Amino acid sequence: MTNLVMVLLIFFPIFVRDRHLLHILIAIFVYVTLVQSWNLPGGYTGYTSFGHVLFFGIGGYTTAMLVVFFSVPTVITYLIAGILSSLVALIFGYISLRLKGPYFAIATLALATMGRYVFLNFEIFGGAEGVLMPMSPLSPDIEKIPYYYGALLVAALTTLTVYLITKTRLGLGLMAIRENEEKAAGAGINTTKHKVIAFIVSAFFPGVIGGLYASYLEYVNPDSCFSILYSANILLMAILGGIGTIAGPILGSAVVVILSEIFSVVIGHQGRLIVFGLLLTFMAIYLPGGLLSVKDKFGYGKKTVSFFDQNTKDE
Amino acid sequence: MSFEFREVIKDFGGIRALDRVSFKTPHGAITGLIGPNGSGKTTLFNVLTGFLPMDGGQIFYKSDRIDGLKPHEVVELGIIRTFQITRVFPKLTLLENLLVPTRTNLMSDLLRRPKTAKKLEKAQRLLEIIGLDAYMHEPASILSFGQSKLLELTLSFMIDADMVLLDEPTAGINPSLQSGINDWIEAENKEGKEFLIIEHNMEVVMNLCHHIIVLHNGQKLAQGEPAEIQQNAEVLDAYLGD
Amino acid sequence: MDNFFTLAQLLITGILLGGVYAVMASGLSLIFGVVRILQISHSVLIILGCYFSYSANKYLSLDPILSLLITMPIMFFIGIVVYRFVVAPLKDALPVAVLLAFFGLIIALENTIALIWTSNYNAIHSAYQGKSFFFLGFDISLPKAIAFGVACLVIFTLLLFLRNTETGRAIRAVSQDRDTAQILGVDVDKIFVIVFGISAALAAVGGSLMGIIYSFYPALHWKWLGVVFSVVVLGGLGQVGGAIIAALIIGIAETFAAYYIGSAWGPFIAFAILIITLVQRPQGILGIKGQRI
Repeated sequence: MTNLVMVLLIFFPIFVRDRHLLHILIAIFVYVTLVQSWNLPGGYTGYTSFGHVLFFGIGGYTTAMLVVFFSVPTVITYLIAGILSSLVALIFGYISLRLKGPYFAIATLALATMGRYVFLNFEIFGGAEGVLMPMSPLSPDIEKIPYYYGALLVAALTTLTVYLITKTRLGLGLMAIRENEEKAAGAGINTTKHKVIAFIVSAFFPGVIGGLYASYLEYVNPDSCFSILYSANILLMAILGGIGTIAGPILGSAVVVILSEIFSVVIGHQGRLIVFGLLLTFMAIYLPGGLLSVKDKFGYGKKTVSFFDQNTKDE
Repeated sequence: MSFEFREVIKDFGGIRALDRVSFKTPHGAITGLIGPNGSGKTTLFNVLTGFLPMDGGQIFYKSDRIDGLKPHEVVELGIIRTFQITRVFPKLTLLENLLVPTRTNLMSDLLRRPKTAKKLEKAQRLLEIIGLDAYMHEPASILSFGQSKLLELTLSFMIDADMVLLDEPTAGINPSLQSGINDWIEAENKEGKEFLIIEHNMEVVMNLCHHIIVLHNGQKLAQGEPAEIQQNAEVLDAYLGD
Repeated sequence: MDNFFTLAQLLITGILLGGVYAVMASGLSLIFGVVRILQISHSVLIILGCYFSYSANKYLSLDPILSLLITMPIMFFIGIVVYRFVVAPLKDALPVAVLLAFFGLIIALENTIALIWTSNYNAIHSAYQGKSFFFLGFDISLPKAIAFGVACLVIFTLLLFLRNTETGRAIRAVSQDRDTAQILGVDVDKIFVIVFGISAALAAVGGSLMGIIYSFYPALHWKWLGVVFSVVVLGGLGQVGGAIIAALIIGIAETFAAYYIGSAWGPFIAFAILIITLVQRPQGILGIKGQRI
């Protein structure tokens, strides 16, 4: 099934040249990368970040600065962006990962907001205007295609990486931390090491895709890179698709991006966001297991285990 | 000797939970840790295994200082514990629960698969002993209280620890199962595992333990063989006077 | 000499600002202490109150302070609605679920505001805007002074309410020891409802006051979120006195930062204080070690 979809996706741009459709798919790939990577500390380890956009934005600005001011080859900047994001995650991880659940979420929100301020206020980053990054022009017909394949590749690599990690001791350790961090420590797991590794890996891919997306848009500014809406979307997609699953980010990203397109036309930009906000609230209260948990209500199939199931309270 | 406590102090705000506690546990033994409620037994466990910082004193395990270590570092030395309030991993399957405990956090080990043939076999065997092998692939959340306790007990046997710390292992377990657990502890002890067990059930303590340490109000009240402790007037006072 | 004067001027401005921050954070502090949840949508309620004042001023020609007589009850009601529909259903859920629910609410409310009032900068044209007066040689902005005065009045009233009324005492009981309060016959759920209502009403006050001083746009609440949260965390769990001190500290810190580093860095300082407090001293200034939400 996955293979069929992959084949379809790979051949898609050859047959379909609709630029708008390509753009939608690129957006989906970007979000798959973001949500899949978010899941590593979020869904699997239980440390839900509200500021995941930070790494995406750092990636974008890294590429922009390196390309515009240092003429570094674009693809190389993507890698550097990923590494830089990971470094930031290393530092921020040590600061914030010692905080429990909701406090960690707030700390990440604060860090992301602060990050936005840094890029908004320092002149070298271009302030509110940001940095313009004209890329070598290809004919409008095919100019999206490299980005399509690039984004698809990154999304696939992210998914593969997260999947592989879940199959290792590291992945099991992360899930144990989510279930009961103290017990995990008591069972021999170095929780700090596990969490920081997860956080670093989860920052790498957003960094890369942030760089790619920046060159796709041909500019960066504090809004295109650090807008809180990215984090909101990530959270909505994560919860819709099912937190802590491999298919979840894919399902969630596709659904939200497509709905976005439809709503934007029908009810406008703000209307769409109002609906999404209410939807996020609704999901958190009534369907924390995601869209697929609807079938539980009707008694179909195995009960989806929800991330939000209150674990046994211990002292 | 295995454990040595030297003048260990632990304060909680104004309350001294451990008051210059000093003792040595004999090598290779099943040692019981008893005392009335609130005497500091679980606090002692927490301080020993790195879950709480101490405010004074030193703790040694086989002549190495271990106070101040983090919980996972204590496990890496071969010491594992259970919790007074049973802790398992609810959404993980029973098998996955049993695959979690580890004595190493090296990167090279973190990247391996958790399920080796050896571990699988061991987990299966242990689950059979406690009669839960039918639920091997079910989430641990389906277990009853007693079953969870058994699962947690089993977890501590998965990593070939040298020293097992059990916090009230038989509380809430029906008597027939209790004696099964006790037999199991004795058998493991004969193979070389040492135990430090917090227990309230005096019968279990007296029959199972080679050595007993008595705590009262955060202080070590007495220490010795079961026969001695049973005759010790101070100990009787402490329990009856409460 | 000139430097000292500048410092003193900044200090005064910081204190005035701190007073308003105290009111803004007071509602959050109540919820923190009583319901024990992280009410991240508090700042968007504040800005909603601000926009209500704006409309009351624009269409009914009401002075923003006077308009509080209308906006406070409306916001009180909204606070109750938020409790009933968002908080109560999540009573037994993980705290993170509550945060997610609030986050969605924030996005929805912010964009509702943008839809109704547009995303453009708006300002309340009060009778005293832009004016200032001299006091002891210092140049004091009239809107800030009035806002500070109202803030003091409201906080004073709040403290009186908490101390001297039966409901107020019940609220304090629940914040200290929920279970005992329940045993003693306090209807904890009703207290939660009331606290949410009061908190939203206080948000209305905070919003009006900020609207008197600054111009605003819908997304501005994110800046205020950092401020109110750092005030409450710095001040310590349920410590009203601590929250007031913390508000003054943050008001002063922001003012100094804005002057010496740049006006845009003010909110940054608030967020930084928040993180540092969370990591280094989670019990806040006046809290007891180990005691946190």
